[in-house]
Amino acid sequence: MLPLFLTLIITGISLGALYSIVALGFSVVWGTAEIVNTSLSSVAVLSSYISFWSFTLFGESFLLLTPFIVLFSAVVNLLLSIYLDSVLTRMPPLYSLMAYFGLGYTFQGIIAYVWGVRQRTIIMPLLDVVVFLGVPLKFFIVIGVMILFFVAFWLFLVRTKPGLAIRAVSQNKKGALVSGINVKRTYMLAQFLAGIGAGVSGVFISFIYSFSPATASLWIAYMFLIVVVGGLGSVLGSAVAGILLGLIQTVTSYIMPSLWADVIVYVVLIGVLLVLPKGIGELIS
Amino acid sequence: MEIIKGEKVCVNFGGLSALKDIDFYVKPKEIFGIVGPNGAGKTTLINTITGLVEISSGRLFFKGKDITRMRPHEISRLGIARTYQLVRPFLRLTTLQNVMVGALYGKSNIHNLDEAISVAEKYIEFVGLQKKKNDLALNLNEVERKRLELARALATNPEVLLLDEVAAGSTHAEMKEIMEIVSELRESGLTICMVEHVMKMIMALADRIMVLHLGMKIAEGSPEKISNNKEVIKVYLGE
Amino acid sequence: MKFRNFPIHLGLIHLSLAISLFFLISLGWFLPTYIYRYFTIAFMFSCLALSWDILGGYSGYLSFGHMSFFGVGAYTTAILLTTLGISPLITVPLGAFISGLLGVVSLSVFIRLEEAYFAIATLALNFSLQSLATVLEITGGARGISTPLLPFSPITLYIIFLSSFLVITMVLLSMRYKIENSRIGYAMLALREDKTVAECLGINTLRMKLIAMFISCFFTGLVGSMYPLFATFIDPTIGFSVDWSVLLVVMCICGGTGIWWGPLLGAFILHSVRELFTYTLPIPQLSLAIIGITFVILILFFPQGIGGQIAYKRRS
Repeated sequence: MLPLFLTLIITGISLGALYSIVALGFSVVWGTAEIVNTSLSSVAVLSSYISFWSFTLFGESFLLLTPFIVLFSAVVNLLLSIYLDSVLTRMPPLYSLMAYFGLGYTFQGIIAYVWGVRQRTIIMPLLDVVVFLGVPLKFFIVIGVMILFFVAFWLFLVRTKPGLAIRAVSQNKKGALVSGINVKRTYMLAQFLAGIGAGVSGVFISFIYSFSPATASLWIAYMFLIVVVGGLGSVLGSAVAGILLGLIQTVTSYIMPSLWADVIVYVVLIGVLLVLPKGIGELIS
Repeated sequence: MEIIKGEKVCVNFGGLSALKDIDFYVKPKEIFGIVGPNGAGKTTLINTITGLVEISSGRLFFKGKDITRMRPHEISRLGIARTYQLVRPFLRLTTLQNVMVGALYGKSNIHNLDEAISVAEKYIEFVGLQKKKNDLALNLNEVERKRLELARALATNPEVLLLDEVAAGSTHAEMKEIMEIVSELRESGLTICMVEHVMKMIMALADRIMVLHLGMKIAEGSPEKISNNKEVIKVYLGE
Repeated sequence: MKFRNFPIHLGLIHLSLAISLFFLISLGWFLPTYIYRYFTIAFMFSCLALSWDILGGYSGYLSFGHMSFFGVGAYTTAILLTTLGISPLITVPLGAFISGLLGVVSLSVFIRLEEAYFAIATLALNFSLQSLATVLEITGGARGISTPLLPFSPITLYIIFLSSFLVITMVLLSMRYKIENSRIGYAMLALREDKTVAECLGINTLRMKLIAMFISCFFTGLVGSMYPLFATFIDPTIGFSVDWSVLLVVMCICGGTGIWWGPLLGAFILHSVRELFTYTLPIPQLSLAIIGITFVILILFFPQGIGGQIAYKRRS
């Protein structure tokens, strides 16, 4: 009984880790540029499909290509956002939500056209080796990657100059501008990092879970839930909220049919929004 | 009887006390000035009078009626109108449409569109915006937008007008014009509360002034009394 | 009336719609079924878009999950008809009313949320109801519910519902036209531009929002309640379709929100584009991409929509 419970926890944390990584980028872009980039989940799914495609071409050695896949996602997101944000930053955030939503749809349509709508996944026996507590290696890899990602991100934000710029702009745009910070470039940096997060997440989704174009739409609600619960622009918040989400989903899916888990997730989202119309961030400040 | 009275008005945001135990009153047809350094709570006070900010404790009265818990639209219907520190015209509407909204609602509560149009045109002329009557508010400059907002507030036919830093960023000439308009309004029977930073204007116009600092009232009285008050001088010039 | 320049006269629209209806009926049974199907669905979307915009275009609350109310109406009819045999004449208005009520309740609960958060909350509501309908027995789960076919020939069936949707469209157009030309119209413009200032000018914004929500959800639910009657089938992916929810937003933005005829135009344009891609291009998946790109282009370059461009040009 206990080992099973621990297995659920570890797989839940691993799922949550993937949510957190995408959500962190989403949260930081929103907090910094006031742009709600709802296409990030689609970028993640795109990188999953590219990984899948590489796997069909090269087999397990596709793993060597993953840095390039991640970079590709980041660059695609960056280029599109440079263009879109030049117009969107002058409009209320709701417009960016809609524009990027449309962009996400476009990605989904292209993906569906090229690869079809069926659920896909990559099977790699090497990673399915059970390592500990009945849990395959792959889940631990994800948790490890998440820790690395978050630590690196956090260090970047507090120890480097560009990172400092991001924090400054998130807190006080005018003040940052006056201090000589290139705000536009900071936005671009935030978007680039968000693209990296989406790419990383997508690559790992491809061989840990199954995915389809519809996965992208599903994850939009998750990203929002994590931002609202974890706080806008908060690194620790995204990590905690994401993990919680993954845990809740995994545990409830085991106890009751997985669709009930979905209902609960959405109800929780609505619930949190009601109690804290601006998310937990409001509570902290 | 006072037209507006506040008894020990307190406003708390989370742990922060924005206004503490403010006792004040405004006499009918007087020009009442509210001054103080930045962050003193002046705009917060205006917001409590109009019902936008909830009063944590204390009471507020308008012509003897308790308006402490009233919603902004009810307070507007009673006859209290305001302008905003950072102008907020309806950008995608024309000047005329903006002022019509005031005429159709507020205390004037006109139901006939044609009547509302003529009332609106009257106030647009009063503030000198006739030439821009059919221009979108979007296309007006800052000064014109301020006048638009004033016309819109007046169109509600209020008894009390709350002006929030109406002179901010004005040139000398513009300030004179504002002073003339405010005096004219007072002559016509309006009670006016002015939040101001520009001391010269307040000193010249106001009958009585209240000084706020860090959410508390530190002085109240005629402009002369205020300018000689040691506390006030200390607060404005620093230690 | 002097200051709202309408390039199109309401009466003219009603007349053309009535004449088209007359021709469709009289020519009826001679035209290919497809034509009837096209117009029935087009007018159905028109009703949905016009009612969505009563909330979105007037109160400024953009609902991204409006199909929640469609589905509630649809399942009301489906369930009551198949389990209790209650006549559609009762289930349809009942479904509409329940949707309206759900709308008011939802709005009271979501009202404090800022624009972006409100949009997501409505989307979450849509997803929740979809998931709920998939797990519950009474809604038939993922399989959905099949409703009995009404005793009419296919074309007759289409004509009946085409006429109904057309009439509802005309009702909505008239309602919207009257609102925009009235005192309440000014209040709604103010509400949409700046809620706080509107409130301080004496407009009871809470009441207006709730009324707009009720009317919007009522009509959405009305159309929803009618859907199973001619489609003979309802399931969670259709009844609570998130794709259609987003499509409604795109339709209204395309045609122009806050303009009485805007959503009608948007509905026809987008529906025609979708049909075009479904039947001419053998790649249905791309229709999603097309909608996506359309959305992006609209937001970036024409946020006021086609209608907005026309109305704006007239004014300056």
